[in-house]
Amino acid sequence: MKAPWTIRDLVDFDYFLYRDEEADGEELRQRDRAFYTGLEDLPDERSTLFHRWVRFRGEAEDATPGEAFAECFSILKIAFPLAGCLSGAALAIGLLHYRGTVAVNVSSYVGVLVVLQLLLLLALLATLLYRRRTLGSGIPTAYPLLSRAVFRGSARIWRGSLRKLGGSQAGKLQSGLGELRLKNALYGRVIYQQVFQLAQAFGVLFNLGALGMTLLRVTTGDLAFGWQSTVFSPETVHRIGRSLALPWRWLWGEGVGYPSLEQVAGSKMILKEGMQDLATSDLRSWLLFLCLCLAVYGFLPRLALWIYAACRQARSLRCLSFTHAAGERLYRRMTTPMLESAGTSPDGDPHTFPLPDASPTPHPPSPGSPGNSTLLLVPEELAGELEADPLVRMVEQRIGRSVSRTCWYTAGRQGLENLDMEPHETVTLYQEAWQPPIRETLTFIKQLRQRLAPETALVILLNGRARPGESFAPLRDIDRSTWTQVTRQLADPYLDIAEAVTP
Amino acid sequence: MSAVLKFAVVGHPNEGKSSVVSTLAEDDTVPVSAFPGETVRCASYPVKIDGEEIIDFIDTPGFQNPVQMKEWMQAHGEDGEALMQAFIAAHKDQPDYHHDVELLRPIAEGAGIIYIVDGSRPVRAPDRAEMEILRDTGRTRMAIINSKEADAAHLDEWKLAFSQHFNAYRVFNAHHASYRERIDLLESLKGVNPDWQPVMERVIETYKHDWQMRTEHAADILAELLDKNMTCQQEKRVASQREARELQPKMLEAFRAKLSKNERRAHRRIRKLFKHTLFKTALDEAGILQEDLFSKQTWHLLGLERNQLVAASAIAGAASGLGMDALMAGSSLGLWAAGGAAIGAASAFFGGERAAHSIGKSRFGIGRLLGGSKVQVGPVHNPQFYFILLDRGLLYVDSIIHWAHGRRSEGVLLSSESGEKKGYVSGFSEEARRCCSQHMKALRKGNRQELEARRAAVQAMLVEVIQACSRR
Ligand SMILES: Nc1nc2c(ncn2[C@@H]2O[C@H](COP(=O)(O)OP(=O)(O)O)[C@@H](O)[C@H]2O)c(=O)[nH]1
Ligand SMILES: [Mg+2]
Repeated sequence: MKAPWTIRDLVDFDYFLYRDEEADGEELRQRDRAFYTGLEDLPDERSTLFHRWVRFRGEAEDATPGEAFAECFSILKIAFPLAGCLSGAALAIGLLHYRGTVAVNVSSYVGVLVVLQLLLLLALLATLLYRRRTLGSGIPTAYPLLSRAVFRGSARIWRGSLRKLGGSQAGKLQSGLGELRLKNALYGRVIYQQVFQLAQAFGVLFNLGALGMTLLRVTTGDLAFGWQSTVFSPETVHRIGRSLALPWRWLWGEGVGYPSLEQVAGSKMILKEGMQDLATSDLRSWLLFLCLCLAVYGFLPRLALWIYAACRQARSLRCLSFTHAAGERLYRRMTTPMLESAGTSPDGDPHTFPLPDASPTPHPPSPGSPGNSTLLLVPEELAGELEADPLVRMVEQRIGRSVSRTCWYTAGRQGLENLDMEPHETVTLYQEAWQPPIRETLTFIKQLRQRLAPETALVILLNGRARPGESFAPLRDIDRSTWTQVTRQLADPYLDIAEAVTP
Repeated sequence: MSAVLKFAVVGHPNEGKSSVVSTLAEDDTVPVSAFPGETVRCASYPVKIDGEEIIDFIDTPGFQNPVQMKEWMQAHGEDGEALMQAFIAAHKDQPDYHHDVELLRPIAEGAGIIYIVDGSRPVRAPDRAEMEILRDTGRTRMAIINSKEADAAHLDEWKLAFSQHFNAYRVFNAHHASYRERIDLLESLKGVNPDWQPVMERVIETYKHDWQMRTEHAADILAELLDKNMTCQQEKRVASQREARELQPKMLEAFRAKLSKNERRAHRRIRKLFKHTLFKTALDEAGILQEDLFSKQTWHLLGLERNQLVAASAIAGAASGLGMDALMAGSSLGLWAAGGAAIGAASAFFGGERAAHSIGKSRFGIGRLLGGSKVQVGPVHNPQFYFILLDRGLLYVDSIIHWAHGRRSEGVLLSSESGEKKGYVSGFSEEARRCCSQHMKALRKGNRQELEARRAAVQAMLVEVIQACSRR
């Protein structure tokens, strides 16, 4: 069974991973490996495994940003529908103002509650379509202001709970806050969906409020509806009403579901003549029409959008693959056995290094990940310098995947075209770190990504400048930071960099 | 010849183009960064003679798409200037090609090419593409091997590639190139293209001349500093002996500050002479020159050895009656600490002798005058002080002229465990030392004519020292 991920878990997951970036690599490996080997039944889904890990990490914390988000949303989940309901009702009261001398104006009621709502709805759909077209797989954000407010509100709650914790811990945790950014592809999407759903809940309750208030006014008081126009003839108004009633015409026909021509003509108000001459039944004939308009054009679409948002969110939470770079790293930490060999290195230091394939592991290989092998890409010009065997061994050791094939590619246009790749296979790109990341190289990486399925991991394996007779070397700090910074600018959560030699 | 000779300094990002320009043009304001892609626009660093622009080094951004650029150019099938213009026209609105277009512009406009590579790394496909592009421009081109690291394993690889694509190449290190190597580089540029010969000759002549002028000027500044600091004295009238005694520590402090200030000012003038603006901050991070003129470390490492000092003192006729230890140790006796013993040592150091002449037995340098007393500090009669000033000055000149303008990191470090002197003056010939002692003597005596002659001798000697230093 898949684990029940929530927004709170997701935000925390990201937060913990962020904090791990700062921490000491060896300690992390020990912690996560111990967690993994300590599991009694190994889940065969990566998402379940990670879900347990989040819970495990959460136990050690007094406050997490996930809680802040959850709290923020739980407030909004009450506040939004309530506000929608109240504002709908208030608007209806305003529109149905009737003193017995002048009838309620049908056109303003329809204009505000139906036409305006329909326009808003169309605008929403248009932005959704537009964003989806331009952002591709990105997250469509229909409510940027609202989303930002949610993030700010959550951040404030989070800071509040930090202040309660006080002291050193607060300082330590605070640094995690800056990273909770809107752009985060992992939880960002789910949060946007939640915000979207909130907005729809507002809309649903707004319409219910307006409808309820209309009915209340009708049942508890005397209402008369009429219309005014110097331009439109009663025939035109009748035709408009008839068209609007299209969805329910088959059920409630002319005279019931919408006013007939005589009723329309009979409810036309001419101010200087007053209302005395108008028949009461004509004045009432509008009532059912108006209520149906509101229900069909206001309430139902919002309800549909609300259901759609709920489904989308449930699906997003169900389909998290966790194959992004930080997830890969965590997974590697968990599944790679720790090997300690004391005194084997020439300088006598006990060394710890991962050897995933050398020791038999009882755990199933890579649950939930799309295959456990990688395609290795190496520039062709290095064929003379690098021996295939040690290279493959190094890659397997460092990446924690077996190398299915090694491709020696040439730089330039055909280089990429000639590559034969599977879109779902992880790719490891061998790169000399001392070469500055020029535009051409970044373009190549981007094009590589386009050939791959969006959530397939792409690892850039950096090697330092080796001494003669050796093949691999640690990176210089400046090269590491240069490559880290540049790849970060690509904003690809499934792109990771790894190093040929442990720093 | 009226047209300015332009050189576009091009290459892969982060190979040291900006550093080379900085060193060649003696301009340490050229932005250099360890992070690739620092230079985004072409910037020109002209060399002017008498206000007239003669040559122009153009720092360019690095190639960003060499392989694609080469593929485009080869598919285009034109040559030389037309090819470059076509490339620029086709790519000038593509943000990805911004740097490539920018660096090609000066070449298209006729600049000669100086191609920079880091010779300590292997040749790769983008480098080959760049070299082919440059070859196809048809411009005169010279390659410079600026090895960032000592690794020479790849030099032959580079040289082979250069012999195929370039008119000439030479080794030139942006961080360590001396004046000599700069001249040599200009000489090679002269040889690459006969058209450049007359201009380059003029430039080289002017450079040499200018360098000689700077050397003489630097020696002059140093000699002047010696004059000033060895004759410097301060005095103040006071009403009573008690007041004088109270004032003395303050005056010693002020005197010390004055000597240091004179020195700093002289150093600053030298720095300006050699066109360094950032150098001081770099120097201040580490090294003996960062130490105070009167610090223990300074007196430990610089100046003359004990036996040399004995001889020098004898010639200068200075400090008779003062123990050698006091002379050698300088401030290590706690010269600047307040307190009786320190004041005693200080008065011995700063003109105790003259004070002793004027006021009999007083060791405090306090003289009785009509209607009151005066407190007098200085002049310094310790010959070691002269040599320490000189040593610091020469070290400063040395580091300045060996500090390539393209280099942007820490300064000179000297250390000595064994108590051996590390500066310049302890290595002087006996003749040079004698020259200094006689200068000192003239300073003490105050005979104007003799002083002029002695000073000129010292200055000439210093010019030689600095010349030898810049040949190194
Ligand atoms: N060690 C060493 N470093 C150098 C040398 N030349 C340049 N660098 C360094 O290389 C980096 C890039 O230099 P820069 O001149 O900005 O390169 P550009 O991108 O080609 O203009 C800087 O950190 C320089 O300090 C050199 O000769 N030796
Ligand atoms: Mg530069």
